[in-house]
Amino acid sequence: MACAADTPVLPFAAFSLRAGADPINLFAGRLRRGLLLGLLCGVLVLLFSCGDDDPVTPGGGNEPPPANDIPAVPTMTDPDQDPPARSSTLSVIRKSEDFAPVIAKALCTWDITGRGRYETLSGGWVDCFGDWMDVYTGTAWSDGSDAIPPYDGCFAACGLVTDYCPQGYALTIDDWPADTRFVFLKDNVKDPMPNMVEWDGPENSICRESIFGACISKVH
Amino acid sequence: MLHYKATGLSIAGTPYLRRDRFWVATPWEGGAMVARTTGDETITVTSSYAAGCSETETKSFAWSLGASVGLDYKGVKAEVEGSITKTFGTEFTVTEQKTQTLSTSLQGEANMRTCFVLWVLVEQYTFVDKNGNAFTDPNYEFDLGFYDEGGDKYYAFQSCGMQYEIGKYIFNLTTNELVSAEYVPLR
Repeated sequence: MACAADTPVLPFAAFSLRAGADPINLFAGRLRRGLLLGLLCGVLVLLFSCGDDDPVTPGGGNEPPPANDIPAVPTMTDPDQDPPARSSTLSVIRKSEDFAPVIAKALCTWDITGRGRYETLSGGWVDCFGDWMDVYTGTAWSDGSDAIPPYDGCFAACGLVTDYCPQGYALTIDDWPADTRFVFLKDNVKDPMPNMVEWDGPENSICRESIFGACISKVH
Repeated sequence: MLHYKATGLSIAGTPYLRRDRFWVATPWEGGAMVARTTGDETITVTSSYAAGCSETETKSFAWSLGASVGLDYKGVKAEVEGSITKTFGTEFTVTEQKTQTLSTSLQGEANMRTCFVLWVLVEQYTFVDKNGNAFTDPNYEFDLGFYDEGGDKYYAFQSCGMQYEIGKYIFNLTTNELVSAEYVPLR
């Protein structure tokens, strides 16, 4: 927040107080009163301008229009012409303090082709690049909006530190078939997890240290 | 569908949220942007326009704000409303987008040429850096958001039709000079 301590007004105010310190000089007395009045006004302006969250304008100015301002409805100047399709834009920028650190989709990449064998619910073992288990190599957005891995396949979490799991990765999985089993990899070594079909939603995020990737298989 | 969420490096910069408010001229039924009279006759005009917020945009915006992916739409709406209200200090309500139909009678001015234009207020929200440029970060790729053809730019979230007004522009019949402009707030 830009406030009194870092505005250019205060050095001038301090100087004006010093200039008014001579009690004999009438002019200085008037100057003092004027400057004190100016100082008071400055303080009032500061008080009213410091109550918000450091707004700035796109052009770099520091006097944005009030947040509630709505631009005036445009007018017409030629009765035979259409008005401009849209009015000029009013821009107001506010710091988004309360926003979570992650405001974008992290692009996740994985490539775990051929890295181990994974147990299935049926008790057998399959290679991640085996016949019936698809191996996924590629990218996806971290909210899963694109390139969703198949239920039979492998993928990996990405990132180094997570809000959910400071020691490792967070992986949130929901809406899978009831017969899905998850096997997690750790440093390319299989690290079976218990059956997690009851887990659902972000509050049940799987939190494991050093999870490198995951394979998902269904009973066939 | 299988969802997964992986969180990683924090973003390096500070995101700002920019709000752009502007009026959009909306065509009357038949496609004309202006309804005209050359006297004091009364005309009936109709227009249909989209009002409210797209559910897709609302969900995407909420996710960008950091809302949980597990929220239902009601929770998503609350997250968006709360964030915008807190950020800009004004009450904001997410309303489901639907087509609004306006039909009204308008009277022209005697011995004047009167033009009527329907203006709809639009709010767009965009993530930017402190200078107003599109927000970027070395660790992440960002969605461009949704493309606004009229403004030729991308935005993260849009709300339409919170207010609309009819502009009544009165011109001199012979000189075509603008005599007065009045605005009839409808909402």
